[in-house]
Parts: sequence; structure tokens; C-alpha cells
Amino acid sequence: MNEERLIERILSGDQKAIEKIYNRYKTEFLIYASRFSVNNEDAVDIYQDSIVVLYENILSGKLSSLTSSVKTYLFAVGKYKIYNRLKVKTTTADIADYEFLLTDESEEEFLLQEENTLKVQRAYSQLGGKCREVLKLFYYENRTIEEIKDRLAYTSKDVVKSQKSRCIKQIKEILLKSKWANQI
Amino acid sequence: MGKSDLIEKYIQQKASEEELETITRLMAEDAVFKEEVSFHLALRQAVKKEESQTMKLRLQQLEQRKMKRLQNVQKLWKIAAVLVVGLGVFWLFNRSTDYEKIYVANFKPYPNIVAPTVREPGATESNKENAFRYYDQRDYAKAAAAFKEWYNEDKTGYANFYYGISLMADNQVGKAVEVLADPGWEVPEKYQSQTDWYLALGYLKTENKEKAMAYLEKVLTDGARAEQAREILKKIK
Repeated sequence: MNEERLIERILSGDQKAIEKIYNRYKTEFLIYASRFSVNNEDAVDIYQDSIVVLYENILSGKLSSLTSSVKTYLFAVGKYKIYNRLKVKTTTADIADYEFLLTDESEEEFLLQEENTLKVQRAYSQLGGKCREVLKLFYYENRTIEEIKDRLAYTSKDVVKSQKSRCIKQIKEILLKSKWANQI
Repeated sequence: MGKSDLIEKYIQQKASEEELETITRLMAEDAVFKEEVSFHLALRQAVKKEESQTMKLRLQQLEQRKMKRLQNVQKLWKIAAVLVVGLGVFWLFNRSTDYEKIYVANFKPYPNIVAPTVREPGATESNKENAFRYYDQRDYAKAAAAFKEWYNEDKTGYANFYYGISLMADNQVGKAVEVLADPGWEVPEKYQSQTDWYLALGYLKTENKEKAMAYLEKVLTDGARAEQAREILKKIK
């Protein structure tokens, strides 16, 4: 299966497609990583992190604007992460092209307190499968309401919207409860 | 456009310049709006973290599954190897050694009842004398050669018998069976039962169970080796 097809399948929500990419380049990446005196366990860990970054950039549509292949990008991310792990200062030109993909934090985010994010994350992980699905598509995959409607086979955009509000309300309730529990 | 729609667009980074301006203004004026925006930003961050971790976990599990499958395959190979070796050893001890044991326990070269070898100094030895001398000296390879030559010379019946026994004693059992079972050889009456007996042993050694049994049955009807033959038949049946 070629890369365009794999990317299409990832975008359409096929969970197996990313595993295919994972299996396809793993051995080669481990050989590549062994050149940098990274032990095998760390190399696998770095590879997994790189796949996650790749996955997220495919979902956000950032990768389709790249002219390079999945493999080139994956190995560039991996190299960046290897340098990070080895605490080598990354001034190399060969990853400069991809740096914008790695520094993803938007300016507003410094406003967020780590602690709050963690609480919200805990609340989110307590949600039922349906809520999680909707919020994941909206916040993680950056899907439009229209796309979410199609993906989850809802009858209209309004149904998606009200489902989403219900789920957000649930999170707020969980947060409120834990706050209340903390005060006791 | 409603405030919640504005926030939605802002969160997904899809707001236009104009909308961004509105949002900035609202954030400054409206504390509730500002709090709502921060909450959605926190939510986006939280969902991202959680889903990244879930994704990573999935890859780790994929890796573990692959490792396990690999280990299972290796384990299976190990078990298979042990089984093959075990079966081989079992077969060796239980199958071939049975016949081998019986053969070794029962085979004795037939005694020389023909020509006591008395070396006459100076006399040239005939093949016959030669053969029996080697036979008595247990030099069965040379004995076999000499018996063969002698038999070819004058077709003396028992020469072929001793030729066969010499081969067998020299551990050329396959060839011995050929010689003793040779249809062109007229077996002397006196040696018939013995020939059957040695053929039975020969077939045992070469693991031809059917023929071994057939010859043993023949031996049963004739006195000398009947008891031994009965014992063997009991073992291999």
C-alpha cells in the first residue's frame, strides 16, 4: 500500500493504517538509531514517540503540505528526538525544515497551568466512549462539525453540537465534583 | 455569530482576522468569556495529552504482542527440536536396538565341523585348508574370500554355507543373506536347518521382520535351534 493511500486511511479513521507505517519503518529506524549510541529500548521508545508525532501531524493536515515522504519526515522527527534524548544541541540544518511541526504549542498555552490540564485530562478519561469520540475528533483531530457528523453517522450537525455540549458539561460536572470533594 | 461558535473556531485555529479581533476584545471585557476560552484551551490540551498517551500505549502493546508472538514461535521451535531428538532416541532404543540385541545375543559362527586344521609344514595349502584355517583363527574376512574361491572352484555345497557365515561374522550381514539365500545354491541336507537359522538372524539384523519370522517358523519345525527361535519369535511378535 502506498503512502498516499495510508495517509488517506489514517484520515478516514482507520486505526490499522498507522500500525502498518509503524511496522514498515521500525527495523530501519532501529538500525539508524544505533548509529547514535542509543540503546535498543530507548530507540524503540523514541520511534514510538515519533510515530505519535507523525500521526498527529497527518491528522492535523500538516503533513499533506509537506513535499517529503512519510519516511523522510518520520526519520527527521526521530533524529530530533534522539538528539533531545542525548541532550545534543540541535542546530543542524537538516531538521530545520521540520521544526515548525515539532514546536506545536500555541502562544496562548503558557496561560494554562499544568495542574489544571491534568485535572481536565483525568475528567476526560472518565467519559464514556461516545463522548470521548466526539471530543477526540474535535480537539485532537481538529475535525469540523460536518466531518464529525459524517464520521459518527449522526443525522445532523445540530445533533453533533448538542452531543458535544453535553459531553463538555459532563467534564465540567466531574471537575466541579472533584473540587467539592477536595474542599471537604 | 454566537460566543460558543467563536470559541469553537478559535480552538480549532480557524478564526478569521476579524473574528480574532472580536475574541481579543471579548476576553478583555468579559471575564466569563475569558474563563470559558481558557477552559476550552485546557480541554484541548488535555484531550491531546490523553490521546497521545493512548496512541503511545497502543504502539507499546503492539510491540509487546509482536515480542510475545516471536517468543512463542521460538518456544515452539525449541519444543519441536526436543521432540524430534527425543523421538529419535526413543526410536533408536526401542526399535532398532531390539533387533540388534537379539542378533548379537544369538549369533555365533557355526563351528568348524569339517576340517580340523593341522598345518602340514611345507605342503601347499588348498583353498579349503586355507579357508578353515582362517575361519578357526577368526579372521573372517580372509576366510570369506577363501571359501568363496573354493566354492567357485568345485561348488562344494557346504563351502557356500561357511562363506555366508564368514561374511556374517565379518559383519557383512546384507551380503551374507544374499549368499545364503542364493537360489542357485543347492543347500546340503545337513545344513538346511542351520541355513534357515542364520538367514533368520540375518533378516533380523537387516530389520526385515517378515522374512525373519518366516525363517524362524521354519526353524521351529526342526529340533536344534527350535527353542531359541521360539524365544525370538515371542520377543518380536
